[in-house]
Amino acid sequence: MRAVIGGCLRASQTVHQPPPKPMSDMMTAADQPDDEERSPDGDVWRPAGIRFAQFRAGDRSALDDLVRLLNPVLWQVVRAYGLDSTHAEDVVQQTWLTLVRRQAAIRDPQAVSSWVIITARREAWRVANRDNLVTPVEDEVLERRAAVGKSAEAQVLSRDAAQEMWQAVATLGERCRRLLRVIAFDDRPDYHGLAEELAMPIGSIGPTRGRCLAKLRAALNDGDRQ
Amino acid sequence: MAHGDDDPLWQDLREMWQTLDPPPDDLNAKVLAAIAVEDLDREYELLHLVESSAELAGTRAAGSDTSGLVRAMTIEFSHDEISVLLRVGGLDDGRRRIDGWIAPACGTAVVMRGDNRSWRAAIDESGRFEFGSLPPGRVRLWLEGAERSFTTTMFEI
Repeated sequence: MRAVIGGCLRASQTVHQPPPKPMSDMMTAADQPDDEERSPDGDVWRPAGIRFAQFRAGDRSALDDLVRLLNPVLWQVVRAYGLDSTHAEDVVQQTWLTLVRRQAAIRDPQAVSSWVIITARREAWRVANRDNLVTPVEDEVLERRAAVGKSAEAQVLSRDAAQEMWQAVATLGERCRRLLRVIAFDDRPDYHGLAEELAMPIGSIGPTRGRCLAKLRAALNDGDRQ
Repeated sequence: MAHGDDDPLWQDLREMWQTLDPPPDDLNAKVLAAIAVEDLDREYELLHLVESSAELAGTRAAGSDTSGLVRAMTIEFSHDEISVLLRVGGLDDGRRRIDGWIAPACGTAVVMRGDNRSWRAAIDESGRFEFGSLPPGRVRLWLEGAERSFTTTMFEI
């Protein structure tokens, strides 16, 4: 071993970012996921819990299923923070590696979806605030859009309608855009974290959400009239 | 619907983002590859991606396309006081050369783990290391020989 140089060898150094706390410390009872149906597609959370339990019982392939189940939601939630593709992918990867390393911290397998989403959101928020990494997602998406051939199954919204909706959302402020995108994919998000990220009292989130939807509706109507 | 409101706009919003900004096609594969080379026997810390930029001859690089043109990439990972800078260059035979630098200098070796193989390089006194010729593909980097162990997420070279 050669001489100690720099900060990398100091074992006692405190780690800048504390590991995610156990769910019980992070969530109030109201936030705890339960067996009620939840969107998106209500059928994601329960299978996720079952797969996670199987993974912990030693079935490695169950983790593959868990990744496939939750990645579509994780991607959307992380992108709500305005990260570019490269950083969004990195955050999603870190989230899963953290889950694998800290799996014992999740006492109730049914809580795995919430745990994973909260972990991803915190990291996305940290990265978004770290340095001005936030690029206009709009530009990037326009670039990628040409290459997108697939659309979600059971897609009801036409491409044109989706474009109109995109334009309408783009007219809203940053706060509304993030709130709507997070809640659209996680209908019972961790409100404490959201309140902190959006710098608003926790009691304001419900009313703000309603106002954001109303603004969106107005923007959509304006679009129709033009 | 547990939204506290059953506004149909939620469904439309979801479909809009799923249609116009879906996850990259290889996101699942990347995550699973990263997990597959995970080392659970050691305590290590995750380095965060700071920057990744690529230059293609005459054009802006598109995503993680590693085929064809010789190109150069700069990738930086960091964690608190340590940062790892990688300069990835394309060789004429389609393989990659990596010149790396750890600041502040620490550790004894860098290990690159790909899907089924790994490669090791010594770190010199100034924190530099190099891999003369690696196949293109996905890898994770591990820093060994320091009191704290570090690893990155999966990235494309």
